[in-house]
Amino acid sequence: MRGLAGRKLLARRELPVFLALLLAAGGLLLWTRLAPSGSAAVVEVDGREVLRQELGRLAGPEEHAITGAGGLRVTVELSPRGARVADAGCPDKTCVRTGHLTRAGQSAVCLPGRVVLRLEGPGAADAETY
Amino acid sequence: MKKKAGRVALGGMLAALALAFSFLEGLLPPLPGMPPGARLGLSNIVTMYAAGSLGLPWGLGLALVKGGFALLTRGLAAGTMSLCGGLASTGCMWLLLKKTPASLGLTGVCGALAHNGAQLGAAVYLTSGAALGYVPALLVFSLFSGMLTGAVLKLTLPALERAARWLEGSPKD
Repeated sequence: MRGLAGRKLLARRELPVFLALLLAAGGLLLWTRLAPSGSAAVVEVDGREVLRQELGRLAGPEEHAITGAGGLRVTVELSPRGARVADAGCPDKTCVRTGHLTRAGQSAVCLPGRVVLRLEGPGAADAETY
Repeated sequence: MKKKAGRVALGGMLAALALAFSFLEGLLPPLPGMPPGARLGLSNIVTMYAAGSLGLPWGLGLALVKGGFALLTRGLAAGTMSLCGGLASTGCMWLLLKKTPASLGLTGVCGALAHNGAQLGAAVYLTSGAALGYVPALLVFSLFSGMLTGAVLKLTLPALERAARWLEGSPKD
């Protein structure tokens, strides 16, 4: 097969592949943007549900301290409008940077602590049975 | 003998380059609008070159070095993710470069997709299916970062090949 040097950056015959990928990406993004607002926040540690809160029942923001795998501390903030990971004891803080979750299906994952914060939509009670 | 020593030197140089890219990427601020933790994957340029020019063992070796570096500097979770992504993307790019006439852009995009797919698989295994919520953003990001990988390799290839020829001591590869 041709070496690296003989290859172009893009080939015209590959256009359908790129178009299909773009369409799939655009469609999936649109689908997530159109998802209903999250009505319940669920926190899991190591796949086990440790907290479930109907967001509509909250009067204001409230914080919960979660202990993840290896004793890692994760603080989640739940409010009537959504949920976020406010603080995490790991160096990466990827879950904190995920920001505020408002739509059903959105999640913030802390891999070192195996902690997942996710939102469920109305009538999505079975969504957690993977 | 000189050729073998030269190849080892080239491997070392590429490993250093991959680690430098990984480190530099870590200094960049999170990309706006992109999934948190998503990295440009600049070191994939190096593994792509190694897989395409030196062969699969060299590419996989570099992925192992990158995974080890992430393990030492960023912890077990990051090390596992880096290793899964690196091995999957190197294997995918090697297959495309050896068995198909795919362009560098398509190879980069498929490598990025394999990288993110394997990492997502590891995240789902470590936590739960909730990580699948990242799929749409990662798909978009793979298209962007994969094209970048292919484009930078296309631009830097002449210099890389000159360095390889010089190190391996042959006038023409």
